[in-house]
Amino acid sequence: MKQLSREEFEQHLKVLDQAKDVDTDEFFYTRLRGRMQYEDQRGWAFPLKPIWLIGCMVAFLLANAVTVFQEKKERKSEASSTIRDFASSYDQTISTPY
Amino acid sequence: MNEQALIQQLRQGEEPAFRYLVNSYRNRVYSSVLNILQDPGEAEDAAQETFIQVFESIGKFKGESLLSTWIYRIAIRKALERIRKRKTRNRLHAILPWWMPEEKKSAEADYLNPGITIEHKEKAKALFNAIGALPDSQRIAFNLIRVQGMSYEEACGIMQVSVKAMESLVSRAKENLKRNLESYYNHDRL
Repeated sequence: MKQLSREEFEQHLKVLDQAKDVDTDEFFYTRLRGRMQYEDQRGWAFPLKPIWLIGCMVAFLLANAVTVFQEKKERKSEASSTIRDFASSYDQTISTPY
Repeated sequence: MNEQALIQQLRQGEEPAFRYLVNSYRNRVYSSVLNILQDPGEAEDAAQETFIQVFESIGKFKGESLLSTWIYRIAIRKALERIRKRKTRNRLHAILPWWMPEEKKSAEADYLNPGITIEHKEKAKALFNAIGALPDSQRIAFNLIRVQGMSYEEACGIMQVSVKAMESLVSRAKENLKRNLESYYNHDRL
């Protein structure tokens, strides 16, 4: 692999000396005012940026996961209390003199 | 117009003062952001956003630096914001191509400074690509000093760093550029 010498590099950088300042046209101010007026009139808008959309999606999925998890937990405790009720109503609890 | 008087009038929201400010700085701001972004359309947007920010934040300008330095600082921040947006968009496109379609490459995407002669076009393209691959701070430092030909004092004021830090940034930028250009000489150039 060829190593670039300092001289070659500096020679390459000389291309930049050719670059000149580029001006915008005289209607820049008119366009700028137009944009400012448009943004003033537009007022508040929901920011449809990817970060917001992804954030909303993640929040929605998290809320779903929490709901499902809690529901499962409730069902489990409901099932165990039904078994206990059944046992007590038929006097199935074991009592021992020991 | 005296700078203090101009600032005073801008704070009062006077339209002629704003027009004067924009017309005084538009070319320098546009040229600066164009050098960083290498895209005339994006440079126009960034320049407009710069003046909107100036208009909205002039009340916060404390006068600790020259007005021009403050405006350049905003312009560079706006250009960097655009670069970050571009990167985020490309990253999202890589992950979710159906949701974030690839940006259409306009004729302007192949922009090259009009001062560059045809025989140096390839070299200049490789160089600007290499500059674009530099870390943000190095890219801005190199751009201000080497591309725009600013003095160290002025560039330090804009970037709010010491002269030593600026020298170090430019030096590291050159090292990285040299490395990046080696691939151009070794692979890309036929």
